[in-house]
Amino acid sequence: MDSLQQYSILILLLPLLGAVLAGALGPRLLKGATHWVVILAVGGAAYCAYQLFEVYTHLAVHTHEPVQLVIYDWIGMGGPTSWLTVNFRIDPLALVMLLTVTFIATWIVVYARDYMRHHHHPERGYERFFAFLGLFVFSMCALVLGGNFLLLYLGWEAVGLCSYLLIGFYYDKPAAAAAAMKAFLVNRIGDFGFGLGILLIYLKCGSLDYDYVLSSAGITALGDWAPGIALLLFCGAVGKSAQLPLYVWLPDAMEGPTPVSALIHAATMVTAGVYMVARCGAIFVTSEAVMTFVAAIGGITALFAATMALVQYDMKRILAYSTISQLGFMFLGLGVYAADAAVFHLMTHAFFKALLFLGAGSVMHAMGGIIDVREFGGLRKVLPWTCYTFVIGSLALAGFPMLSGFFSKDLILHQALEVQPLLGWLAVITAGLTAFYTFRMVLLAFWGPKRLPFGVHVHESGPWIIVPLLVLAIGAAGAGYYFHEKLPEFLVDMMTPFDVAFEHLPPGAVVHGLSHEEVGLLSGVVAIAGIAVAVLGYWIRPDWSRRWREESGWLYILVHNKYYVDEILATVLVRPLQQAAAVGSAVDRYLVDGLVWLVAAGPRLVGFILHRYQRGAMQGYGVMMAGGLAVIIFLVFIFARVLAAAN
Amino acid sequence: MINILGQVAEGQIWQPTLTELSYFAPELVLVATLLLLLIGPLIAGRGSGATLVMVVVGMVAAVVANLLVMNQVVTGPVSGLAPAAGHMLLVDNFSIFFKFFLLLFLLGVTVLWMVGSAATERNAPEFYILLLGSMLGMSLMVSTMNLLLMVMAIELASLPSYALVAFDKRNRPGAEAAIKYVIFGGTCAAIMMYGVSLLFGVFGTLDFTRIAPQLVEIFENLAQVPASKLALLGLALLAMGAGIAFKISAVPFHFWCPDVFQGAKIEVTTWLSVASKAAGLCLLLRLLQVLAGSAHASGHGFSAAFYLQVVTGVVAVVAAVTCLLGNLAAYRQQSVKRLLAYSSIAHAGYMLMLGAIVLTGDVTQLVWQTVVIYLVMYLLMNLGAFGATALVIGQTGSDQLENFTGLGRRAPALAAGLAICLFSLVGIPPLGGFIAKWWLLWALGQAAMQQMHWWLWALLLWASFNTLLSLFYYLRVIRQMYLVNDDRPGLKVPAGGVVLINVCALLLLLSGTLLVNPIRQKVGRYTDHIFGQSPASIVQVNQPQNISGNQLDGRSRERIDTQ
Amino acid sequence: MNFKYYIWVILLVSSAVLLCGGQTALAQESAAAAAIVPASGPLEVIFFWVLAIMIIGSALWIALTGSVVRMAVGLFFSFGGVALLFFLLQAYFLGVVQLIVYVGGILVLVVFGIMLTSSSPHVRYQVPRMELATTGLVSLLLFMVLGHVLYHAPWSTTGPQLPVSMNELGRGLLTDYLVPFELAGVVLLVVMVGAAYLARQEKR
Repeated sequence: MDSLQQYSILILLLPLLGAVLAGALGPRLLKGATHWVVILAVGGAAYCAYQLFEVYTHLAVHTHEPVQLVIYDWIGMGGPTSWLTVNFRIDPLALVMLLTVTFIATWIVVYARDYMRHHHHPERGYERFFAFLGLFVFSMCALVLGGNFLLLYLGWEAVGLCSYLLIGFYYDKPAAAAAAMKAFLVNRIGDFGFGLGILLIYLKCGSLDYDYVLSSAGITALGDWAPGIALLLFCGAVGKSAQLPLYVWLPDAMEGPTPVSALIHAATMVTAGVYMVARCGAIFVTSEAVMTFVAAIGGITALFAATMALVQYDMKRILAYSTISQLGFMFLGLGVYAADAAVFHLMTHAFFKALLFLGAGSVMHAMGGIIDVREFGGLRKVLPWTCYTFVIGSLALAGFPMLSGFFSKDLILHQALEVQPLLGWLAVITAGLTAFYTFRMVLLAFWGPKRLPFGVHVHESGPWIIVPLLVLAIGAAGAGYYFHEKLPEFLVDMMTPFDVAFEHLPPGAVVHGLSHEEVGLLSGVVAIAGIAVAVLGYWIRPDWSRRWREESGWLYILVHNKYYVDEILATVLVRPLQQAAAVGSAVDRYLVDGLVWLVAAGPRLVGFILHRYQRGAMQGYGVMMAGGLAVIIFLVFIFARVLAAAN
Repeated sequence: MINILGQVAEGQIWQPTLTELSYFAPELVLVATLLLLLIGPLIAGRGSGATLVMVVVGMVAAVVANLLVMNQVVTGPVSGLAPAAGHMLLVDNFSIFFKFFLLLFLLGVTVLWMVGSAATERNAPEFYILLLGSMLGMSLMVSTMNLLLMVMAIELASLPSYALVAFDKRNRPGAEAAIKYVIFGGTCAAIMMYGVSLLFGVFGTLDFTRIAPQLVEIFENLAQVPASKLALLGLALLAMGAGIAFKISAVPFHFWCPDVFQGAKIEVTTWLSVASKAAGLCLLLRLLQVLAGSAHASGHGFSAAFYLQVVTGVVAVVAAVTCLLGNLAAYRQQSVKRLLAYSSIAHAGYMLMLGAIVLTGDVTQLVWQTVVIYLVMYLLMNLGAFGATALVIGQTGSDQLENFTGLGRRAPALAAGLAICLFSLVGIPPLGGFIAKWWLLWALGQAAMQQMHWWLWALLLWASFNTLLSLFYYLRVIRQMYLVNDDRPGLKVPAGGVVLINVCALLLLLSGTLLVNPIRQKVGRYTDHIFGQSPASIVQVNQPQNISGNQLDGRSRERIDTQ
Repeated sequence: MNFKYYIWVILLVSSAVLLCGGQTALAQESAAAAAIVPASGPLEVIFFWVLAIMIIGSALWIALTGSVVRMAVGLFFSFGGVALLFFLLQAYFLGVVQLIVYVGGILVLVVFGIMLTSSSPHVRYQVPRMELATTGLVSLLLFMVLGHVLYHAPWSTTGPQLPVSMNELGRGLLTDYLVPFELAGVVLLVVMVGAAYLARQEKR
């Protein structure tokens, strides 16, 4: 077994082991020390991911060919069951994802150690929480490492399950339980399409291995079905990555503990959709229309979510909408053949979004669970560490020049303006809005006169929280600059299908407008302008913002109520569905249950009859045995006759 | 006297050589252990501890002996312990596997016994003498090459079992069950012996290797063979099958099974549920393969194929009915032992399906591999399930389903292990039981593809359908453990038992996931060159240089010169 | 109370004896004996039919009578008839074994068993009509099948020629059939341990 294989197995095994140990030994043995198990496990996975990267890059210095590792052949006996093979695919894309996921997750787990304690006492379910975290990381790693669609699907579902468990962590809180259920159900809608897509792939290709399906032979085998399959797969991505119209679960997912939100938003869950589309690029690029569709969904979602973030007061909710918006950027990037930019943005976003969530969590921690920015303000003095790391994260999110968000967003904008100018300009506007709402939140929370909720004893968080914030802040500040040339270079082989398709776009489809530098300048200016407006409205002249709110009238009300999407969905979808469900449950109760009862009743009846005969009377047994023998003998003769006649 | 000794010395009278005996070292070790258990207690006392030491010494010695023999028979099966042209006992990879299997199982039952009754039982030596006696019989059943020895082996396996069922003398149901068992066993043995003597009447020999060429001859000239002879042969085979079906508890010779399983001590029940059925099944497969080997040797004649179809058809029908009956009758049981008894009948049915396809030329190897895997998984599942039941009986005094209420809370480790074993019995992935079923269905599917008989497909569907049926009654137990709750106090179960059950569960889990491939590679070794694929290829230990076709064809048999 | 253990002893020992005493020899002789056409002279034919009627008649009597003692008597005639049949077929050893083991051993044990277990030896066992009918029908079915097949069967004649001398038999047991012979010893040993265990009074 070579080191590639060892490390990739360890990446999976360690979080799983950590989760199992935390779950099995936590409640009885480890108790308050459970976090160590999971920290070591996830940290170990991060180390292994790094080692894997090292080994891989030394393996292939110039060409980053994917390496397909057959880890385990389950019950394949050759022939039609070969798809039950566990194989991994190690390539730049998987490595970037793995490194990001494990690295971010490590710090989130460290952070959770203090966050999940109230006044030095572990919260109820402390061990359970860490076990789930480990499982979550494991699922995501399985999703990323998997070398076939089956593993992808399994990881996909496992991630969904873990998110359900973690969002509903406070299961005695009705809102949390409802949010968990919502997340699960909305994801199911997407997953249905996703599963169907994978089924179709299997039917058309006869294989689920990336090696085959994504090769030119596989794409040929998919034939005319490729665009349809791409749409079905995208369906899953829309659900998992919270795009229009299936984004509704993500804002509600705030009900889980904050580290979970950070994990979902930054590293483990929502990025799965982006990863999947990037992975299946070869299928998506078969149709220009599908790519346009992806870009359109991304661009519109980005704008839509950004407008909703403008008027929210719940910090975590604002961040949630911003995540949806940023994911929209990533899909826009994918849709305009800039998959490397999308993955780059995914990585930088993971840093700053994790940082922002953890920062918001730190504020919440200090405020005793309150997160509404109307309730407090001017926290800059009391929570200095939190405040300044949060500002760094916000600058990165806003796309402030030379910080991480700037580089990745810039790449997306550049390509978008070339391929889809309309969506590109929308994205520029969105970037401005992003800067504005981010700083609106920062200013409301940290600047201005000091206001505290009643009876809250404010204290800066301890090192378990501050250190992760600092580490992530460094990442959020520097990752963009550090990686902005290296990463696209590293990902260049993975980009081949996108690049080829881009080259083959019909003439005129690509507008050569602004140069790279000009776009950088534009986005920097837009970001700074957005920040400036926010500073003006929420710090220097707070009355201005009030006036904006009042003057916008119905528009404000519309946006503030999130475009009534939840209500519309409730009327259009949920209520009819509930009625259908009522009918369904009646059918289930009376018809299906009846059928099941009937199915079971047959055996029960026969069982009853047999029971009567098997009462223990020896003579009866003897007669039946002899009779049985006689029957068998006759059977033989009849069988022989029948066969003789048939032959 | 002197005359005879002289004849021995001159080699006129056959005597087994030391090399020849060394091939049967595991059996000899078992006999030695048996004698040790008989004499040992006179010196060391009748305590459980001393007995266990002797048993463990015997087991270790048997394992070592078996390992040594295993390394000797790498090239193919060897037979021996009979003069010149005879074959009596056989050593091949499969019989070695089966001895390992029995030893492993003996270990499991011993652990169960230590946990359950070692403290109170005062008759440990007798218990183990009987157990080892029946084990010796079972291992001989799988290595016999002679009809007479087969009968003796089956009796050696059965007679101690009768006494074992009645072992707990304070238990009246046990005594009743034992009486039933004896009468049933006696009847079936009588039918089998009848069949064997008819076979002797047909062939004039008891030796498989001599029967096989005669079978080839019959198959070659099937058109000229009188129908009456074929009918006689069929009847003889059927009657002989009855005795084996009794051991497997196939329908309609299954009636003893639930009563005996319920009445006997649970260690004995566990023993009978696996070992007795396994031995019967393997013997049946051996016999069928002799038949198949002969038919194939006769050049796939149309009529031979036809004859085989009849045999296969009977086995298939019996298997299908056994399977269904076991699954249906398990539904209403309140006694978990009885429920597991019916489950074991159903599993016997699944395994018997392999008998229906072992005659299909190219899947033979696959069938043997499936048998190996299925038996090992079946052993683990049953050891776990019966072991857990034993612990519950030990703590609550009865095996009624209601005593399992809330076990998930009262004894979580025990319940978890039992649940895994039960799920595995259903065949839910990724547990060992699933892998076993998968192999079974795979083998059936391969055979169906090869033969293109609709009834093989039907058998395949039938097996799947029965798996579905079985789900419900296993789930009843699991439901009782986890979903029904009242406030019964927690159970203090002995740690050793919980460890045993969880080891079984863990092994099932591993063999369903990580160990699938290692196992697949390992089973090949046990099913290479086994006897029956070509009956004439057996090497005789004592006269390897004299082997020739002439000695095997049965018509030139040397008579011992009495002068 | 303890009587049932005597039944145990009887059953176990008798089945073991049946197996070991009869079986080894049986294999050598019985089927081969059956292979020889039973009768050549008229006297032998008459003897055969008398014996056949005696064996089957007494067996039927055992099945139908209600009294245990009568069953034992029926057993005597049945066993004895079989022994005589063996003599008629020139299987002298087998005939002697049949007499010693069955008539002298098992039958005596059965009689002892009856005397020790029953409160009165004249307990009558009533067979229900329905059961009788079913059993009869099933037996008839089996009989028809077996009779049909066996009547038409062509027997092999390649077995050992009769009569077999005692010397030959002894050598056979220690050479050709050494393993079954030794195994019979193991069977008897194990069965005796089991029987002794079951019959032993448990110290309380």
